[in-house]
Amino acid sequence: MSFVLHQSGRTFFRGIIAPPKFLMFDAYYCCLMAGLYARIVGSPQDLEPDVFVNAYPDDFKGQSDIIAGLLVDAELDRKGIQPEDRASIEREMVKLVDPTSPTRLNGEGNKLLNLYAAAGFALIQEKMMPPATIEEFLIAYHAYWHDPINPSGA
Amino acid sequence: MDLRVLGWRYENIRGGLRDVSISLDSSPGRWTLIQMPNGTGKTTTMSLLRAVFSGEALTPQEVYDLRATDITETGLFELRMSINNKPFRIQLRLDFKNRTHQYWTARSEVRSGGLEEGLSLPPELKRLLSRDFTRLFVFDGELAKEIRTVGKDRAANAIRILYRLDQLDMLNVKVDRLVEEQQQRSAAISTATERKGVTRWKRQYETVITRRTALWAEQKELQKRRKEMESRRITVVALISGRIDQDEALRKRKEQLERERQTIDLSLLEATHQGMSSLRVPAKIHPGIQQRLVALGGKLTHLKLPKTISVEFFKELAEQHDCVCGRPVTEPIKRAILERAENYLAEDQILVINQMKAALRESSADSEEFTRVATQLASILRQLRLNKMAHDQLELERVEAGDTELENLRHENQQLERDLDTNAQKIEKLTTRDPARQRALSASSENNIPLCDIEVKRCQEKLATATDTLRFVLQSECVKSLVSKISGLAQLRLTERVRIATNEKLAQIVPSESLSVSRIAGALELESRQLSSKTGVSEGQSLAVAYAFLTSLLTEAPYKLPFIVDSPAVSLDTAVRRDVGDLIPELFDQMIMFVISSEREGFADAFYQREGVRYITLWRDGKDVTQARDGLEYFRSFHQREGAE
Amino acid sequence: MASPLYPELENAITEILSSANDQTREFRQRLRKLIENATLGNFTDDDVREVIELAVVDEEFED
Repeated sequence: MSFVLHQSGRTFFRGIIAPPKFLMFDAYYCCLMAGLYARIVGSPQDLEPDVFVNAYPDDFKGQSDIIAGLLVDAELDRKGIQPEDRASIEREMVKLVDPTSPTRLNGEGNKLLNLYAAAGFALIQEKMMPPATIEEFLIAYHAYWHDPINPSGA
Repeated sequence: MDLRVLGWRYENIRGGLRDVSISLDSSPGRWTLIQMPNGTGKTTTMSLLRAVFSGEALTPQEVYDLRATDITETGLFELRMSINNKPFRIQLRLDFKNRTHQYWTARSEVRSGGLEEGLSLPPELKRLLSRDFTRLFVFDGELAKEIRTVGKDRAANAIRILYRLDQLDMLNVKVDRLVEEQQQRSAAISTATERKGVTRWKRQYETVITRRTALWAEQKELQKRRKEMESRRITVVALISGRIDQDEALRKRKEQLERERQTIDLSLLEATHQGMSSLRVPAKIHPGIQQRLVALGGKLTHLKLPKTISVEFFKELAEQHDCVCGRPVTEPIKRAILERAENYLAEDQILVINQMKAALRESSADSEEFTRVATQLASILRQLRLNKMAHDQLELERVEAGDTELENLRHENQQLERDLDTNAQKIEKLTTRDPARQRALSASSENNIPLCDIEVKRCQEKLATATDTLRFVLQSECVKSLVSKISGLAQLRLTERVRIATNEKLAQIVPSESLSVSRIAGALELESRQLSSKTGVSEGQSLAVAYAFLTSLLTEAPYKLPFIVDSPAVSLDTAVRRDVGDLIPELFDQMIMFVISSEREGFADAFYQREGVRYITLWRDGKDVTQARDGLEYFRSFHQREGAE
Repeated sequence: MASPLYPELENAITEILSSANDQTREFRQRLRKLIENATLGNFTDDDVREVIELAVVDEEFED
């Protein structure tokens, strides 16, 4: 598994990255949730050249099935696959799933995850300043999800 | 390597040391106490000992100052020692008339055992016994302060030298010289065009190196300035607090606010921690996420996905004699079955999707939790803001009441904050490796060290190619890098080892004062919280730290050196004297202490119970000539006699 | 003969050299010995040169 950040991600979050309280992966994950929910992918050009971590950190190991599920859910919606189209749904899942991977996803799934995270970063960046403290970020991120004027999600 | 002092003698040295011989011979006692009242040449003796160990060059004036009287023409100081059990004699011959001096050595292994001109110690020892190093074990009291002086890297250097890491620096210097030679050789046989290319790259390389050195200096300066400002900031904040305390009512409010602040900080920590826990569960972020998870799970179930029959089932079936329906499995049927199998999932894929389905269905979370935490955090931050404003208000009230000093301190604090910010920005521009930040700050190889390093490397490689020495240069860099890493790692661990040992000893010598070394970067740095801003470190504390450090350094080193000290306990209070007297001597194989009568109490008397201690007393008689006498009784009673005078 | 080096240096050498897996065994052994000797001042120019020339490097670099 290779997780890659949006090229401006490191700078944006640099005030609050403080392992183990707030990991680089936490930043990635927050962007990912936003991107998946909005069903938008970014482009490979938006990404940094290097991988920042190779596996789910301990705090996230229990969420691997859920995150894989959210990815499938996002892809089905983004591609407009009909809910009754059993064969396509199954095909889509097989395309992304790798039973031997600790993240449940294969290379293709991994790549998509990074693209969703990149798109999610752009969405978040629009709605808040680079956070100076973790608590500031938590409040702002919560506001992003509960914005009454412009609800997040497509 | 084991070095022991066997004795020394003086001829015509000042302080009445006309003809005195100190002998610690034939298995020198482990501890020797030499009582020398002030004015009997203690300082002179320490200087002479240092000189003969290091072969120090004396100035004509220094030579002349050692004379016993104005009419003595020559003088001598001779040290006898054993090095790995082989006897050595070093003489410092003084010519007072001409103000010159010479060292002579007698080594047992030289057949005649006679004296040779010059200082002939084993090369390893010679390398070790530099002037600076000698002051460590022929202990110079001034050193106690120096090892703590930031900027003078005495402590770290002592470690480097003692553990021979400086030799690894020499190795790298040698590598650089070999590269230079190689490049010169190549340059010598190149054509004119090639030489032009070489010159061009050489110049560029030198320019970049110079620039880099300047950037390093800038970094050092910025860091130093930063430390100073941070230190000043701590002082200013304390002073401001002090000014508020002048007003009883304000002080009470301040303390109340500080108590509140602590509570707020604690609840902030807890709430943030909880916030992170909530955040890390997708379903807790927003109810919509939970809905989608459940919906997908439902969808999969509804569509009866995944199909429970796996591809393996079909593959196995194709191998059977008869199908499950009873009919025989012929070749065409086998082919058809295998073709169809392609449409089915493998068993492990089915497993994964089932796991996913289960997780989706089971997913449940309190989707209001995150909102609760966010609200709580906002409230706590508000409280924090109010608390800070109230604290600020205290300061403003004092200013209003006419406390100009506080006003000045406030301005200074604000200015320091601004300056620290600017300093941080400058340091970031100078040192950041992050490409995104480098772009944002317009960093280039002109003003950023990592980028400059890259440029240095580039020029180096260009130069190397031009001189056809690229391969050799790369190999050399590889070797230098490994040697540096090794040296750095060893130094780090050694320093830590010495630091911990020092703190252990400090805890034993001055347990009540909780002095401890926080780190040894260049100088030995003490924990700042223990230093009162007014008094700094007392002389006694300073000595205790020095002893703890030196004994840790010297006792665990690959060399066994004697520890020679002048008035080890005179600045220490009685309790500390006792502890020093009990502890330090245990750590050395040989210790020679010059004491004055007032040091008996608490320090020297700790030795009376020990075995194997030598007591020597020196004093100046009526004719102003120094006499020496051996033995404990005289040592003790001399004390009384002096008191009676 | 026991190593003349004290443990911190001994371990630092082992650690750093063991992570230099792109280097040959011979290079690593020779460099270790050179460092041991260097701490005693026991090395010549030729010793250093020989070890340098055993290092494995990649001569490709970007222009």
